Amino acid sequence: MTTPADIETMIARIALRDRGAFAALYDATSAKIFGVCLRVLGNRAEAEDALQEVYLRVWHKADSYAVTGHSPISWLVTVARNLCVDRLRRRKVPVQALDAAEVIADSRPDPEAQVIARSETARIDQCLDELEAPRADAVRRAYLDGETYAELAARHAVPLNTMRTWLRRSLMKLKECLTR
Amino acid sequence: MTESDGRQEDDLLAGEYVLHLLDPEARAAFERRLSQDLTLRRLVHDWEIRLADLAVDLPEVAPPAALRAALLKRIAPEGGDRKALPRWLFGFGAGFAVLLLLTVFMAFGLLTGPGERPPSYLAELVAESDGIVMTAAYVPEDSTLLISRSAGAARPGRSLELWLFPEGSPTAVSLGVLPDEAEARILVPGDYAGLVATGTLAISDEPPGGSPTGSATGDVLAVAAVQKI
Repeated sequence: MTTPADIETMIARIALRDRGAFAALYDATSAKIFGVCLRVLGNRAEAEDALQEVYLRVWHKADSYAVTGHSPISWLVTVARNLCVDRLRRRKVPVQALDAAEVIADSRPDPEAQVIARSETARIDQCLDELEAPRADAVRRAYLDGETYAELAARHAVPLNTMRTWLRRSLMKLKECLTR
Repeated sequence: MTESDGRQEDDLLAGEYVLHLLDPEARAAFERRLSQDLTLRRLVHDWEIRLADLAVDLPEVAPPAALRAALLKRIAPEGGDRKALPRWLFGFGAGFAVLLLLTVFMAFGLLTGPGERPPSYLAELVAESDGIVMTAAYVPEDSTLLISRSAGAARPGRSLELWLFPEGSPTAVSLGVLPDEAEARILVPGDYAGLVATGTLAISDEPPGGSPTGSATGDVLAVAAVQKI
């Protein structure tokens, strides 16, 4: 069983260019990271490319891990999610963003199904549950689907500024709940 | 706007930044501030940590076995030559790098004065735990590290010690205790001078005057790979 402390040691050794530690980190974490890439990108070939990009970045940026205050898995997941959202943004044509939102809307699992699919123990889920469902959904879609304010506004049929106000209020409530 | 409104606004911007919700212009402006503002970076890291839990519990999926071999090949010493790697690796943090370079050139332009050689290598050492932000720029011709600390200091009654991990080496060699001054020059001993460019620098918290053992005894506060400028 690989503990977070083991993974932390691997990352520290990768910062010193230890290839064995890199292979060990890949073996211990790649299934989780591939799961994140698949979820965000929704496309296997692209998720495979992204997975390679994530680990190459880890190889080159392992020295930046220590200063972020992340737990090791949280850091890896953050690197993966950010890279995948960057990829999503690159593949979207900005002018078509609003139309795309309508098309994508029906092809994703609905928010309720997503909540059930996720571990019920995570505190962030409990805190999101304290928000109204559409607002919690907007936070999840921004994080996991890389949706923009324009896409979220179109999905919920509200003006863009209203969506921004919703989301910012949700962030503050979420933070208040998580630090409670 | 009061100071606390400003802090709350920064916290919200940090959340929007992490969610990738800022438009490109606002995002670029925020990144420019991030490169100089440790407090803002902390806010970003805090949001990353909070929101990462949304992805941590996603179902695991084993990637195809061929990917592992391909990756290990890409980091191998021969085929994995840094110059052969894709451009995006160097684009990572480009915003930070450019600003950092400007800062360094300004700082060392003043420090080195006319006629002295400019540094060719750089490491940015950031210890968020102790609020230390420091750059170490290396002038290979003079075997000299130019240290510029823009924030933070040694803990009360303690010293900061600078270490070099030569490439591939799990053990560090001491480059000496950092003086209290914000700007300093450190002459790298001849045996190690050739190893700085490809090495990794670290700073640790040590008893006054430095580690009594020859290896770090206190907390390792920051680690950074040396990069070509």
